[in-house]
Amino acid sequence: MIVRYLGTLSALCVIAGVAVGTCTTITPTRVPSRVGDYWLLAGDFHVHAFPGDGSLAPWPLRDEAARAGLDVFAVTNHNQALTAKFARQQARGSDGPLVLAGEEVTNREYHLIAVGITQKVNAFQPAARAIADIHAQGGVAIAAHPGPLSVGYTDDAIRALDGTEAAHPADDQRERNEFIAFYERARRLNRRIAAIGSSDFHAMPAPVGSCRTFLFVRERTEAGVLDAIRDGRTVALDDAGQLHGDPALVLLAKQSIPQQPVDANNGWRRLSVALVWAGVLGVVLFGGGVR
Amino acid sequence: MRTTAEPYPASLFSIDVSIALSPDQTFERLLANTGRAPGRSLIARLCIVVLTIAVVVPVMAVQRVTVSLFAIAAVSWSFVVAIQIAVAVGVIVSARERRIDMLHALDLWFAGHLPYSLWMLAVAALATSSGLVDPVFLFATALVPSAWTAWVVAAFCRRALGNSPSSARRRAAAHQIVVWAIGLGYGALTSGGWYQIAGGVSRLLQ
Repeated sequence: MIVRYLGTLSALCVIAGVAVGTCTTITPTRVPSRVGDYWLLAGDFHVHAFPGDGSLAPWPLRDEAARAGLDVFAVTNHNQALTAKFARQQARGSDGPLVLAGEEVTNREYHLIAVGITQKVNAFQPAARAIADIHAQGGVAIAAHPGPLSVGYTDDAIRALDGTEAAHPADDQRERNEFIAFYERARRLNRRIAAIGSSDFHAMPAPVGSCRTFLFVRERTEAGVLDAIRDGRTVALDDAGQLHGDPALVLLAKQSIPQQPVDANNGWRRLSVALVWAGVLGVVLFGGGVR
Repeated sequence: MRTTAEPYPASLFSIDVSIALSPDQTFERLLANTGRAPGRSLIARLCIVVLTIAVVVPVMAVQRVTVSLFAIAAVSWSFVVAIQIAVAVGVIVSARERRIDMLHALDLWFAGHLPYSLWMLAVAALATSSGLVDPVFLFATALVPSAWTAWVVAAFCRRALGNSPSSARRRAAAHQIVVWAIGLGYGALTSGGWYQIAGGVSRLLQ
């Protein structure tokens, strides 16, 4: 008897899983802390969205950023700024994290994050010239996951950078060391360069904000965030929980960084995913009506 | 002896499972069963494919499924299904000897979704359980449903489109080439260029 209804039961399983997931998903209210004259904000300046090579559209991305305890994030698709400009536009005037328009300027010699731009930056030019284009638009330029293959970063280009990803999801310690080595090299050439932590979120773990940047900002606006990066008032947090950046700021951040929000409904979330996954498998195998 | 009006025999699994496991016999049986309503069945199959995508995308990305995540993923990624329909129409229309109308043919075509649906679910389970998954490795594993689907499509071309075995194999191969070209083209377009795809392949080979 039950065999006859396996497809329908599977469909009900999907509905139950989505319902459990929806009812138990909570976005904690976030109030950034004050450190002297500054607000301490958490940001992620390297996030990919749909349409593009990110899987999530800007709306759910913003919800996920809020759940991850971020105050600001930038949508930075490869060699296009349309999605980012749309994301920024639709987030205006609503509660939740600030959304900045960006681009990951991508070519064989370097990957460069542009944040706070209004137009697409041409990817087919030397890094120093791309950085100048970003500055001309009022944006900031951040070296993305720089390593030995990032041969486009000449000393001149590094001097012009506003920040570099000192923390980025890494496969191993060797990669982490490469990002830090580049940051140290950049710091020797440019004392004010900002240490940036980014998730480079696309479609799979690591999640948004897994590596993040803490910013000491004067005002909680886009201009305030960009100013903090230009002035190097940042600290990068990597996926191993280590802070990187100016030692004085690292010390200050250690005393002020709030606890990461804990998902109190983690068990329900897992149950929801299990129900939905098993339900869809059931629908695929037993038909859900297509028999 | 089975008559053309006799319904498909009751089974624990869906017809789509039978097609994935023994496509020639199942397509032949379905073609003989003229009592089916291909329009309704096609819509149900398309809904299953969209459902699978709409669940797999948020599960892989954030290990969470809510109504809004589900709905937005379904709308955002339905273009994949639209492309599949366009490619299927191209294959079907170009077969002059086909034995059935377009709606019926599309219904049978989408009955062959199982390999990719199972692959998507397997990848989602892997991403959720392991936490970190190499996308290049994942795309390499897509060779399995690709080969499996080619086998199903070849059977479809033989039975539903009336192609000879060699012509059916060529069509199935052409279908896979088109699908991979579109997929890799989308990847290259959105990831910054073909060199990114080439880099991923070379990393995989190493």
